[in-house]
Amino acid sequence: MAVLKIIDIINTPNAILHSFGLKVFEVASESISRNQSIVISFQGLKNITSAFCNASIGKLYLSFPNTSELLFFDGLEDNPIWHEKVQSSIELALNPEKIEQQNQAISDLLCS
Amino acid sequence: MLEYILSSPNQAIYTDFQGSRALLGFYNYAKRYRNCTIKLNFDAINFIDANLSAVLFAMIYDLKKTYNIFTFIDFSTLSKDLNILIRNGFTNHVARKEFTFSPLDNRDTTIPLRVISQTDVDSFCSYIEHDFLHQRGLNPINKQTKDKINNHYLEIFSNVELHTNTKDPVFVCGQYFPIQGEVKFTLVDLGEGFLKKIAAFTEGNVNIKTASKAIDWALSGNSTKKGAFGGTGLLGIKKYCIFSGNTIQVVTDNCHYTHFYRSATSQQILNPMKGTTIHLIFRYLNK
Repeated sequence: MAVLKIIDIINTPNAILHSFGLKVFEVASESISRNQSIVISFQGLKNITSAFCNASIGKLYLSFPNTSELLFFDGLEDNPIWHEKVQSSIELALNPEKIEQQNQAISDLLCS
Repeated sequence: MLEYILSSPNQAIYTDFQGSRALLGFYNYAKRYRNCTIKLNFDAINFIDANLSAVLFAMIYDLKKTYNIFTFIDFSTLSKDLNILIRNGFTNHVARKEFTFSPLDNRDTTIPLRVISQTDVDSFCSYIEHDFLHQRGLNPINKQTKDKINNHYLEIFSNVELHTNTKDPVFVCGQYFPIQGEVKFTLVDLGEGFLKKIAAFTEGNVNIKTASKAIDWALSGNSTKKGAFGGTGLLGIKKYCIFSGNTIQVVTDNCHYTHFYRSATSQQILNPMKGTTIHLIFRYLNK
């Protein structure tokens, strides 16, 4: 199975920008679109953001219905914040309306 | 030489609506002119939140770039508490000697002013990690809280690329207030603001027409990106403010928006500057 190291694609340990996420998407989508399994590796990274995760992993889930069967992750085990960001990007891609409603409900509840 | 005397109630400029108005007074006075030098006089001010250096220098940068207006500051007037503007590098930036500057941090509270390209993520991350969170003044904050603060700053930086539509750099500065147990951080961009993109994106749907509603919309986790959602980190910051007693302020278009605990307030700015300013105020004592 091919391993895509994010740090090698974006050339920095700081996976911060939306545009960096799109670069990872471009590389990963070559495999996913051919039904080939891949591992996206977070090894060597120092920082990630929701913008990066949404533009890379979220966009893969939005673009290819079989992504969940083909995409695996490495390097998230010891970092709950990163794990949560990745999971959120997947949930947002799969159920955007539900997530929007949840966010709005939380927002309304907390600020009422 | 033209001269503007900076002023504010109680001779102090804080990170709030009145503080924004005080600084905008200088910007709106200066932008009536072209191709000249204006002396910025601090004699009527005794105190300024040093993180506001980012706002003031963004104004000075824009006045030079857009109107060819130079700003002159008599450093000798920056006495007592105002010498923070010398210690954090603000005056070096105004004098265009920032590259020879290293902060004089004899109180362990100074976080330098920096001007960083929107795409220079490594400089921004290094600034947050080394200039900001590793200072001795922040020792009372545990690692978990520092990680959260770091994460929120990076989310804000990533947001700039998505909404500004400008190549201008961002302006960042912070300040510790050890007695109050607060850290204030300010990031300024000179882009389009929130409303333009959000109004276009929501047309025919929720039809957002005001800056206040646009900020509310963005802070609720929404994004204008189609096909690849943008950052949703602003919602995380809002939740963090609600649960931890911190404050986020967003100044964009004609709105000064404040979210503190469970309440949000917005106040109208009559003569706004372009771009967006985000202030984060973390209260770290007793956590």
